[in-house]
Amino acid sequence: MTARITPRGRLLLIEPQFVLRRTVATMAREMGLADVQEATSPAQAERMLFERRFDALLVALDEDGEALELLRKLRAGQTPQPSGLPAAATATGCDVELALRLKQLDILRLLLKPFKVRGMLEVISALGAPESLTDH
Amino acid sequence: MAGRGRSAMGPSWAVMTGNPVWMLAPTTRMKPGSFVGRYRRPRRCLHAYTDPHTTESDCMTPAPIPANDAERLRALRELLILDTPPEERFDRLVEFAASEFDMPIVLISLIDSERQWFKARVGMAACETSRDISFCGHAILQHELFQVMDALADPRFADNPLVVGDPFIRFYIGAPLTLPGGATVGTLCLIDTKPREFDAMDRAILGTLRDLAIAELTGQAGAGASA
Repeated sequence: MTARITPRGRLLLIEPQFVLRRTVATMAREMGLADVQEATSPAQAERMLFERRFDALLVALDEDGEALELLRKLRAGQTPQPSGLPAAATATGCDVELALRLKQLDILRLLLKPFKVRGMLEVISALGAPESLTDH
Repeated sequence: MAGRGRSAMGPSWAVMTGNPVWMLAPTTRMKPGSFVGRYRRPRRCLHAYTDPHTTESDCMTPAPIPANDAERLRALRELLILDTPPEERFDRLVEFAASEFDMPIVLISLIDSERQWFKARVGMAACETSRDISFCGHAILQHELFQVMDALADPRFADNPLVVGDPFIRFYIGAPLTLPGGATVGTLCLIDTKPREFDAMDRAILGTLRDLAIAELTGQAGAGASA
């Protein structure tokens, strides 16, 4: 269903923790994995999804469920992005219910805490693929 | 160590106390409550007390003083950060680095004229040590990462008080904190009590964290830094 991001494609990273977010974004750019745009919250990310096209999404799941709701809107075509935008997620934990929900939302990878910068870069790299969806 | 003088008490004193000489060596510039005196370089290297064949050249290399030290210190003091209380924005950086690299000790160390003072620290009780025994005092001499794979195997550090005593440093890597004006005021450093490997990816991540620390020091961090 989902396409994949090319190196230098544009990825939206939704991560509230500043040091992790900025380090991953900087490293991904320097390694040529992706042009990472940063959002501190699902609400900010949603605004960004209406402002420009992205090739992939890496989102930290929050306790309030806002990130899952954003993913639902994305898959339902309620944003200007392609509904099949490749997406991965990070979370503090995962039960059966969440796993099923993520499968429904076609989440390609789930990274559980404690995760490291290296792990997040691997996820971003795993979102990589032959063609970019972005019309530059 | 030549020209540094020797302890007036001599080797018998060191043997009698049974304690590391550096912990007991008298200090002349120690401030009340300061850790500098506790972490001060011995007047005479430790080997010289126990090994009659040891020469002064076998002893640790005190942290060199760079030629531009006066300018460097001026830049450091203009930051108005020395002896300020802990701040979450720096604490968050060292805590993240400790977790990311599984390091027991991580410091943001600022090199003052006589001491290294820690703006943020994980795994280190002291808030400062004497500059001449500091690893970071060596690291600020270059712009690249300064790495000691095994301090016990490195003659510059093998009998350093921070190696033979608490915190028993074996591995050290310091990323110099060089301000936009060119002054290197300190380091973001990682320390382990056992030898370590540190690959290219680790070095790149440390370099990125170093850049974040510099941005915080100079007030250039983005608005998201408070998140």
